[in-house]
Amino acid sequence: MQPTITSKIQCILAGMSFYGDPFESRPGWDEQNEIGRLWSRFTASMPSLPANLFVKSDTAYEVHMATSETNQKGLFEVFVGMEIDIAVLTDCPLDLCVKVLPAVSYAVFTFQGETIVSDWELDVQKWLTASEFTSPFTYNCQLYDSRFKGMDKLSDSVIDVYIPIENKA
Amino acid sequence: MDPRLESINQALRYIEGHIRKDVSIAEIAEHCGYSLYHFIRLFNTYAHQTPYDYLIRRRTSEAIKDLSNNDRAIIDIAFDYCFKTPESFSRAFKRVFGILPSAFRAGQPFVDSLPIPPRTREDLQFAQLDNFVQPELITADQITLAGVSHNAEYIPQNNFTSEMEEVLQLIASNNQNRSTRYYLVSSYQEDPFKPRHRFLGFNVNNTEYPPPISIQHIPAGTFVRLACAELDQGLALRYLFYSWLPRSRMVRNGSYYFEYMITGKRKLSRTIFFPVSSS
Repeated sequence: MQPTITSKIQCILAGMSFYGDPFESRPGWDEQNEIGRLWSRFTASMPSLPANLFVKSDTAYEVHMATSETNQKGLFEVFVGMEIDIAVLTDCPLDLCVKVLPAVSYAVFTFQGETIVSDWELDVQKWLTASEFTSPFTYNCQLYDSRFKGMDKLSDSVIDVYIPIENKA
Repeated sequence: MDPRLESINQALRYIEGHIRKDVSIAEIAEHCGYSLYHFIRLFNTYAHQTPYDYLIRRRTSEAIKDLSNNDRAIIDIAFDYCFKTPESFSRAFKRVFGILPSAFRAGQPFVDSLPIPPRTREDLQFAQLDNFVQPELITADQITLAGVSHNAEYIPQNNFTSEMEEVLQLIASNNQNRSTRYYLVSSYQEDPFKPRHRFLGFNVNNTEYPPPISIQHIPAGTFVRLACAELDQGLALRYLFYSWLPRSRMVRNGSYYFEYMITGKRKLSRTIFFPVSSS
């Protein structure tokens, strides 16, 4: 499992958030868990959003953010959204929130099929330990585009996972 | 053997070994060899509960023993179980049991959930059975039963004595085609796992029977229902009281539960019902 190292410019996302344990109501990779419901809520809001709000209509992001409670309680923030241009920032309606992904280097891992639902976070951690990089950041970002066909067509699906990194030195 | 179930069982054992230590969910995940995110997902899948919620319920359940058995100050008991302040302990205790620790010590009964014992491998396996169906809420009309009542010890959960069978056959003879369908009502005082009385009978329309047969009514109301195999009755009860009830927004509404049983040629199928109301 070798990632591609890339530098990314600042990326502004508009979307929706959930905070807590997303598997409390429905565990596993279930579209009825809180992450699935978050996606449903976001996509259901699309028709009422301003036209051309998003830069790309076929690329969405799922960002997992650790907080001061994450290690202790297993609670974290999940955000789903799409990229916007800074020029339309004030066009975002009240029901969307905005996240700014900083311009840092990323290790980009590509997962397909069943590996999407495997414990790839652990594999990423092992790779980081052995690599020349560290990830002092408190988030990771999953990119879903036309290569992702849905949870019911996992074997045909591909996602990219962006891990923010910096040199250990 | 399901290795993921074994990992979650390992996590449960780790929690028991660290119930008075300031262990984090991330540390438990690491102990089991998973990332935090994957561990949370697996724990919810197998234990039907978040790991943090389980940890808090186990800590407060253990704290109850100390509140009952010794005179240590509540603040000291709070610190024993890794609550940072007595207020956070009181909040957690009230959220779990519906009353404050001071009220419990003063003798007030639980309002919401019961103290939960350690979850076992058998508990995890029960919730993963192929035929496991999540409990569901139903509303039911009053049910009238004709049968016999005894101290719980005389009506074991799984074996009906020959004397009981004779009485039941007597009732059944007056109720066509009912001989394979029983109701077993268990009444308890505080602990549903230690019922005091049981009533074994049939659903009837006619309420006039000679002694020793008596009539009992199960009141109309809302019940949670869980079906299980004959020998899984104990695990099903554990699941209902220790796992389902704490996660639901319901509370017990009466100190009894009943089982509807259908005896077949080889097996007996049970459906457990207990009365609940919105909290």
